[in-house]
Order: sequence, then structure tokens, then C-alpha cells
Amino acid sequence: MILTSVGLVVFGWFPLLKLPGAALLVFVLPGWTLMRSLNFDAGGLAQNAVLDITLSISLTLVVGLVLHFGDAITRNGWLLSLATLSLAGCAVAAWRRTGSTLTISNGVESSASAQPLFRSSTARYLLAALAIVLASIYVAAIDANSIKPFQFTELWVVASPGKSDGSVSIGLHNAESKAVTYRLEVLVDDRLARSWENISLPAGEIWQATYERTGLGKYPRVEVITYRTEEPDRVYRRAWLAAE
Amino acid sequence: MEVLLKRLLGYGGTIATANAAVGESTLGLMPALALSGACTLFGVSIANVFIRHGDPRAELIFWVSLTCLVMPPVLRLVWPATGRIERIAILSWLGLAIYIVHLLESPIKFDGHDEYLHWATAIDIGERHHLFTINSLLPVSPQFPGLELLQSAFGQLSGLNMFESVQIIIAVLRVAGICALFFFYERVASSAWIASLACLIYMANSNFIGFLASFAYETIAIEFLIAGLFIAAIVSHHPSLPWWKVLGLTTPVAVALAISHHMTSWTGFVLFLFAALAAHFRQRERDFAWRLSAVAAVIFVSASIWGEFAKSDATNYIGGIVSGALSEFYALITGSRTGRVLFVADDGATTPVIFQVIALASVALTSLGLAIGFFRSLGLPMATGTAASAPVTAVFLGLRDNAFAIVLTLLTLGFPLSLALRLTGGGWELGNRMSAFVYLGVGLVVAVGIADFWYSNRASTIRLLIVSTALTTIILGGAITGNRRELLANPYAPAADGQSIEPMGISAARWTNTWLGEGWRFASDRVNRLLLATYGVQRVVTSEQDHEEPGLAMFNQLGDEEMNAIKVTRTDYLLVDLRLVRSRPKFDVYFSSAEDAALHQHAPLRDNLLKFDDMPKVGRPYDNGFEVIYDIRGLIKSAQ
Repeated sequence: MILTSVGLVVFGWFPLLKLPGAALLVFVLPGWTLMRSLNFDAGGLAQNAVLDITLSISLTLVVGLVLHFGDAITRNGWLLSLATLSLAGCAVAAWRRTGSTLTISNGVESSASAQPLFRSSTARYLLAALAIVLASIYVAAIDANSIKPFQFTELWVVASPGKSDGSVSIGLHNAESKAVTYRLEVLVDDRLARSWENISLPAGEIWQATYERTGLGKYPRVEVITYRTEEPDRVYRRAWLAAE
Repeated sequence: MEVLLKRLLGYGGTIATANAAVGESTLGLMPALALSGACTLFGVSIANVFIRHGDPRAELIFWVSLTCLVMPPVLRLVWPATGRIERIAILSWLGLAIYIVHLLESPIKFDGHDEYLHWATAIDIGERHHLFTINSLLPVSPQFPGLELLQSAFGQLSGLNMFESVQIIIAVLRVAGICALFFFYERVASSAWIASLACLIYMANSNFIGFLASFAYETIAIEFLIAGLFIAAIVSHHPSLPWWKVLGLTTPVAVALAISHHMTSWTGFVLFLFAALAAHFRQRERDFAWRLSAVAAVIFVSASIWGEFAKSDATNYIGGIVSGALSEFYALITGSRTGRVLFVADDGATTPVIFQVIALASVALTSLGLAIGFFRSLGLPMATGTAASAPVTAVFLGLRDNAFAIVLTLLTLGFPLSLALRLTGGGWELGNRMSAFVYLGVGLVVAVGIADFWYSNRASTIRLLIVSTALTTIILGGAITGNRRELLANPYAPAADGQSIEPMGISAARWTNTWLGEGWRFASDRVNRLLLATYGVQRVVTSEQDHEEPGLAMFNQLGDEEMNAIKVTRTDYLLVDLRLVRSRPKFDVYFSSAEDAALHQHAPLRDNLLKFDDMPKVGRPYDNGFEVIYDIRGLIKSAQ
């Protein structure tokens, strides 16, 4: 089971495959092997499962502390350490298998007859419930994702990353509900230096340009102003870099 | 008269803790309840859809759905003949379903203010591969990184993103926590029936539906505390269990508890210490007492060592909160300060009368349950067949020999305190946080009270309906008392924590990361700080970390004080949210809770927010029409 979990995490191509492996390594196996190596039975399937999970989570945190000292809180660090811990627990459990397991009574008399926990009708009900719950989350998620209280346009001007020649990067991001056509002006020291007409951007698209600034001083003030063609005289967005 | 009073209160009496029908080892009606509950969750989902689109009538759908979600499982659990396995399954389902109610409110992103604080720590751990990074939003958070470590492990191994991995973790913690609580109560009360009722009442604590289902350190710490109680209840009752096994089971949980949350680990220590003391005084079986003492000692040592190791300043942090809350409460008692008006939010919104009635009924019914159950719970006998099977039969001040029952019952004395603290603004948060601990006791005591009520006369359908309605009211009242308005997705509002988080603000924060890079010192308001620290991975300047509040420079004219704050904190950028001019803050906070209350009298002026436009040394690299970012590095240079 440990090797399968590791295999799923390592070779799983997408999260749905990795998920069971990761869940076993983090939530089940460390605690499960600790319980077996202690020869401890809490008195029932449910009690044991709760202890397995709690001890697994606890041991995961302890492992995290150890990884901290080596700056190793990484995917490989977790994988290696949790798999090693679980394997070590298995080895101890196998070595101690000859010992008797201490079974703890749950303190409540049990007169339950041995009946199957799951019937076919049970599975049908639970699967239907699961489907409806997933549908509920899906509906809520789709709706939440569609809610955009603000339609907006982002305008920016920044010194071009990684360049010291004074060039600037200018960008427009149309996050409005529809395509918009913009006009953009660049002013250097308050004088028009460059303009772009009819920048048509579909919703969600980004437009970028680079501008070499020249003017008074090494780095003059550069201002970018954008207008929408539907309101050509109204400044829509303004951004600038201060003179240095 | 005295005899009558003693009988009424159950002093020195015995209750019929008969383990009402262990029943069949099947899931019974749980699958049908899960199916009907799933349908009500769909109703909750639809209610959230409607309210996001501004239809206030959706709140009615939400509360009807929530009632229909809670009531059927309660009816089934109250019925004594329900089987034990079925009880465990129903409780697991109900706990999970209530968590899903929280998830449906915000199914694609974190919503709570505190979730972002811990997300920032989780990002740092993921990027730097070690602990104890700086989190200026909540400096104490990196010192207790339990939940973030767990997210790191599960998130990195599964490949899921932060939000998805956290939701799965919380779901696992929720189910494991509820089951552990059931098993613990079952051992204390020797009854699966009482245990399930106690779990139901625990779900009525005001944090259960919201805060304890969020990405915050209490969420994992409470699970460890409950699991610790369960393990202690097991190991304490079995003298045949060797000491090294006792330590092998308790130490990992105690260490994890210490790593996860300061307050919960110290609360755990106090609980175990008192349980050990009660056992020493009231039990003949000394080994039981020594085992409890050992567990308390392990928790004490773990918390102490961790506090030193993490160089934790949690004592100051908690001390500040507690002393502030208590001094406000003292001022209220002495009349030097007016209290908080109940059912009126910080922004002036009044709770509708129906919710006020349910919340008050919930408190009244809980109090009634406490009155009926207090001495009965205090006098619960130890389970037969356990290590302490030679119980002290004599009753001393209502106490028998059940150490956990004694401690949990005495814990309920915190219930009126937690209510009283809510009468002050500063005390509200403390009272609210206390409920997660106090309800560990309230759950048991009220459940014992219900058990006595049930058995004092013949069980009947009428009685079933009365008790179930009362329990449903208690649970719904708890949800209302927590923060009713946060249970539903609300339309955008400025300065309103989760309600202010929307795609544009997130886009602005992401822009900073893409175009400016990580780690710039940013100042902004309380909401945009969260986004800058998480989506933007910026070093947010806060009074908590930097001891000055540069954000005030946005609101006021730029005087010497504001300039000094900017200089001292070496702020690089300001993100100004122009939407703040629309209304006053919802929670009386623009920047931090320590700010001057005069700031909340009216919304800031737009001209003040945009004053940097006229400063030649200030750049404005970003504008989206609602938010602008100012580059104020030149301002500091020129001042120097």
C-alpha cells in the first residue's frame, strides 16, 4: 500500500490520480503503522480509523519539523520522509507481530448482531447523496465564478523588467464585459510623445507595448492616458512614472 | 424543600445512562438522511446563488434549508432506539454537511479574513521550504504552523492548489473530530445515546459552522485537543497498557497540538491537569490519576518546549487580547463605558426579530439544559468494567468518581462568562472564541439533562418532537450567534473583510506580483493587504509587525506624522482603494483593531485618497479606475 501510494504520487499524471496516494501518505499510513507497531487496537473499526487519521496527521507535523531543519519542506522531502516513516512503522509492526494485540473495550456493552454495514440500497442512497452534494458545490462554484461586481480596465506603466535603458512597459487589460476599443497616449514631461489609435481588445485580452523614453534628465516623467473610443474626450485611465 | 430542590437539580442522584439500544450494526436510516440532507444542501447552494444576485429573499431559502438539514438527523439521534453505528454515521454526515454549508458560501476562494492570514504563512513555507518566516499580517501565525504544514504535505503530494487541498484537509479534520468527540463522550457517559446528543449540542457552539471550518489554526488544534481527550480516556482506563505505549500514543498528538495553536494547547493542559486532580481526589484507582497526570505533563512539556523553540510571543499576543477584553468588560460593569447593543452589527445593521428570538431561545434552552444537567453530570459514575471499577460511591459536593465528567461540568461555568463578554465590543471575540472550548462541557451537561428529562417519564413521540425542536433551535441559534450574515454569500461591500474580496481586487494584487515582483513593502487597507500578501506575495506593512500604521497616510492629509510613518516603515508602494469612500467599515476596522475609533465616523474623502496625484515625486504605475497603486519611494528619498 505504501509503495502504491508513492507510485500514485510520483507517476500520477493529474491530481485525481495523485490524490488517493497523497491522502494515504498524509492521513492514513503513518498512524496506521504506528498503531500496528504499538500492537494497539482501540476497540473497533471506527475508533481505530479515527486514531489512524489523528496520529497520521500528528506524525506528519512532526516530520515537517524534521524537514524544516534541512530546508527540505518540499514535495520530494515529504514523499521520502512520509514513505520512510511508514515503511519503518511496517517493519516494526512485522517484527512485533508475534506479540498479542491489546484490544480496548469501548466502555459500552455491545450486543450488535453481525449484519452487513452496507447493503445495495445503502450504496445507492449514498451515491445519490454524493452526486447531489457535488452538484450543489458545482452550481455554487459556477455561479461564484461568474460574479464580477466590477467591470474594469487595467492600465499600467512600469520600467521594463530587467532593462536599465530607461524603456518602459505599457499595458492594458480589458476586464470589461465586452470588447473595447481604446486610444492610448504617452506623454513625456507633459508633452505628447506617442499615441496608439484603435487598440481593439476583446474581453479578457491584454495589450502591451514598450516605449523608449527620452526627455529632460535621465528618466523623465512618463504618463500614459487611455480613452475609450465611445467617449473620446474623457480620460478613462491614467498611470505614470515619476521623474527620477 | 431542600429534598425537592436536590431532586430537581439532580444533586447526588443517578441518571439512567442506560446505553439506549446499541442496536443493529448497520447504517440504519443514515443513507436516507444523507440523501435528504444532500437535497437541502442543494437548497443552500441555490440560496447562495440568489443572494449573490442581490435577492434578499434567498435568506429565507437558506434558513429553511438549514433547518431541514439539521432537524431529521436530530430527530433520529434523539430517539433512544437508534443504533450506535448509525449514530456515528449520522454525526459524521451532519458535521460534514455543516462544513459544506460553509463551503457553498465561498466555493472557489477563501472568504474569511483569518484564512488569508494563514494562507500567507503557507505560501512562505512553500516558497522557502522552512518554517518561521515573517508574516506581517499575523506575526504569531508562523510560530504555530500546524495547519500550514499539513497543507504543505498534502498540497505538494496531491498537486492540488491551496484552496482545494485546504478544503479536503478541513473535511477530514471535521469528520475525524466529530467521531473522536463521540467516542470521548461515550466513554465519559457510558452511553452512545448521550454521546450523540452531546455532539449535537457541541455543534451549536457559535464557531462550529464558520470559524472552525475555516483555514485557521484553531480548526486543526481543536481536532487534536478532542483526539487527545479521546486517547486519554482510552489509556487512562486500561492499567494493562504499558507506559511506553501510553506515551507512544499521546506524545505525537501533544506535540502536534503544541505546534498548531498556543491557546488550545494550554487549554488542553489545564483540562488534563484538572482532570488529573479530580481523579486524585475522587478515585481509588490511583493509576488512572497518574496516567492523566502523565498526559497533562506531556502537553505541558510539548507546549513549553515549542514556545521556547519557536520564540513565540503568543503570551503577549493572547495577553493583549484577554486583558483588553476583560478591561472593557470591567469598564462595562463599573458603568464607565457603555456596552455593545445586542443584535446590532458594527455597521448599524439590526438582526431581524425572528433571528433574535431564535438566538435568545437557544441561549435560554441551553441554560435550562445546564441547570437540569449540571449536578447530574457532575455526579456521573465512572463506567463499570474499567480500571477504576471500584468507584467512590459517596457524593461529595455533587461529585462522584468520573474525573472527565467533573472537569467538563465545571467547564460549563465559562458559558455565562462567554455570553457576558459578548456585551462589549472587545470581549465579543474572546467570548466567541471561548465557545469552542466551553461547549465541550456544555455538550455533555445538556445531553445528560436531556437524558434525565427523557427517562423521568415515558418516552413518547411528543417528547421526541419537543427535544428535537429544542436541539434544532439550539444549533440554529448557535449559527446565528456566530455571525449570521457571514453564512451566506453577500454582494460586494467595501471594508467588509470577505465580502470585499472580488476578482478586481485579486487581479490588482496579482498584477503587483507579475509586474513589480515579490516582496515589495506595500501599505493598504485591511482587505487589500490580504490580497497583496497572498495573491501578490508582497511584504505588507502593518502595525502588528512594523509598529507604525502607514495606511493612515492614505486617509489624512500628509502631515509630519504620516510622513514619518512612511519613512519608518520604509514603505515602497501604496495601494489605494477608492471604493472605500462608499461607506463606513462593516467591522469598525480600516487597517487594524488598534486604530482610532474616530476614523470610523465617516468614510474617507476621495480627494484625500487621491492627494498623491499632485505630488511630483510619486509615481502611479497602476490604475483600474477603482484602485490605484502609488510608487512612493521617491517621496521618501526626497524627504531624506
